[in-house]
Amino acid sequence: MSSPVIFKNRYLPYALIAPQLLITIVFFILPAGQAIFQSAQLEDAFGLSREFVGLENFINLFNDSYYLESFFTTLKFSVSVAVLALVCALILSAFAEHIVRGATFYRTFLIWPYAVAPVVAGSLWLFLFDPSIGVVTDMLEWFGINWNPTLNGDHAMWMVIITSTWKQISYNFLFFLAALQSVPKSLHEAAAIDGSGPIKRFITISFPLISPTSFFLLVINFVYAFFDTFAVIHAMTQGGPGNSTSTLVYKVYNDGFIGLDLGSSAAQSVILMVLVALLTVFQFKYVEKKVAY
Amino acid sequence: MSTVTLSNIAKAYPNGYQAVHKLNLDIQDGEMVVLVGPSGCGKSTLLRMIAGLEEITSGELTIDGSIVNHLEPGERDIAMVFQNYALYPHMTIYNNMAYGLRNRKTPKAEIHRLVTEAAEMLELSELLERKPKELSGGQKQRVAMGRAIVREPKVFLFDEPLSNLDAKLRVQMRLQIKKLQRRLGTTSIYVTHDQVEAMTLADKLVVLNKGNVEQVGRPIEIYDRPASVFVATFIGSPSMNIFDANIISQGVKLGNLLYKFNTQYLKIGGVKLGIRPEHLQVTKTNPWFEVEVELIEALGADLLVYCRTTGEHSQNLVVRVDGHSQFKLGDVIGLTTKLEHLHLFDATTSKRIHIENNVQPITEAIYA
Repeated sequence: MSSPVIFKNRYLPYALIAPQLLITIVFFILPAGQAIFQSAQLEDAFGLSREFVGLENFINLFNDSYYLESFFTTLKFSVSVAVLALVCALILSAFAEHIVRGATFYRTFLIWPYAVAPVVAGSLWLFLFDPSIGVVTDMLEWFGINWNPTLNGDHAMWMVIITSTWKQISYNFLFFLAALQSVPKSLHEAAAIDGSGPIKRFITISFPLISPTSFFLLVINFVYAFFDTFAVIHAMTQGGPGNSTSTLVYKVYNDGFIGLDLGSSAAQSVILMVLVALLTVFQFKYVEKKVAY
Repeated sequence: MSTVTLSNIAKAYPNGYQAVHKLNLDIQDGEMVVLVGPSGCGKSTLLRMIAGLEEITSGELTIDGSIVNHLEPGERDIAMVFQNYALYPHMTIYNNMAYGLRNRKTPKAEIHRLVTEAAEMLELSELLERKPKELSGGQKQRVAMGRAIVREPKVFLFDEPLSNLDAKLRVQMRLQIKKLQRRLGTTSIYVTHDQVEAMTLADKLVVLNKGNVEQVGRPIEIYDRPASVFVATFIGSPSMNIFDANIISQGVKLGNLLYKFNTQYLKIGGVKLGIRPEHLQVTKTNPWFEVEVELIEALGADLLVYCRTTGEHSQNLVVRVDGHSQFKLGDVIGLTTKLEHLHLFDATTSKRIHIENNVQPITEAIYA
């Protein structure tokens, strides 16, 4: 148990938290406040005049079929990325535990994609998936698939999902590996003596014991798919073709900086902010409690 | 109900370390065998090989007459109690005990009957719906035993099951394990480094040292006739006193003090002489040798007197006497012992030299 520290100088504690406070104010509170302010304004494209319109921007958004579609796109994208990234990472880490030779090599290469900048990852996979020169395109042709992400929205969606997943697997892998390694070896041995094979042991012993980590990663992966995949989408599809890969975050940028509809863009940011807040509350409420044992 | 046979069992690790050398051991049906030795003697490795958790490098392991070398741990029909209990933390006590039965597709009603019975036997009935973290150390240990019992295995394996418990609980659990094993009559192999556990639990005691069997026998046999200096000093507390001595034609000489007996069947020359602390008697008349008291430990019932022989080439020793004896540091006391309490070991191989059957003892010790 830690006891509260008593400072002799009454200004010292404030001075100590000031740097963090300053960062939060400059990079979060101020812009967030500005977004909320802006979301109630209607401004012309040149920034010469603005008028207060109350909740009109929000009302327009929820009547906008493109916005609702973007919600659905985001959901499809996020669920796919989160599930794929978690499942792949879990399988890889389960195998990594049993590797005897070359374990360091295997792990290093699995963690590497995490160090690749999102834009670089985007360009890399864009080449692989290119309709005319892409290696993956070539392979898919053997299976009779006419791959073209520049024209086919579903193809474009798969492309950004795969790229975003590829980048996230490393992160999940690290956490899963650490979690699996913290499961005592004697539990596996006890289960083996109890007549349980390797797969059954994984399902009945390891998996339940790493559930706190899995739950934490689920939330983190959703946040990642929601907000951190902007660069990948921007580098690969710019939200297209049509609006097929235009997620909520991408639409904020597109409407605000390309379409110059600042009011609507701000309103969308405010909605996203509320979503993040909800996810965070969810995370704290459940992850902290969800420790299974 | 089953027998276990180890023939020429050896374990070598990939780095060349030989943990267990060609080892032979026969375990009878219903026997409680205790493997004892210092850490690193290979006792745990041996147990884990029997369990199937470690590969057997060479040799044959048979349970009930069939070779099980290449069977998975789950197929060997054994149960193991681990030092750290190894309870599944996310399962209730009931599920912990039922896990092995479910894996073997035991019918539900049968599982319920077996678990309830075992829980009653181990006084766990009230705790079945709890999780392991809500239990005390002793309760966890009982659950671990319950998990082993419900499966009704051919062999129980115990890997230092009591070393995580406090002293009082350890004694209780030791008695409980003994009673349980008697009642169930299941062949058991028990690994420990604690010689009290070893002496009290074993039907057959196996003393291991550096991957070799030093001696196998009933605990009291091993105490009375240790086969080597290692066994002599390992079994018994405090350890047996070992002296450098000389066999001459009239008897055995410690320094220049002679203990007379008939040595006609013994080789003349240097030997290691062992006498247990409890077999040395303090005497004023006609002692064999004299010692100076250096340190006294009072244990209540007994007094451990640490002393040093007087004269040249003095040697350290411990004497165990009645707890109310009066000694002061620096006192010089005379000691003697009975012939049957002398243990002789070869000076180079440290193996026992048998004197019991081939000598005519001269009952009176003479201070020469």
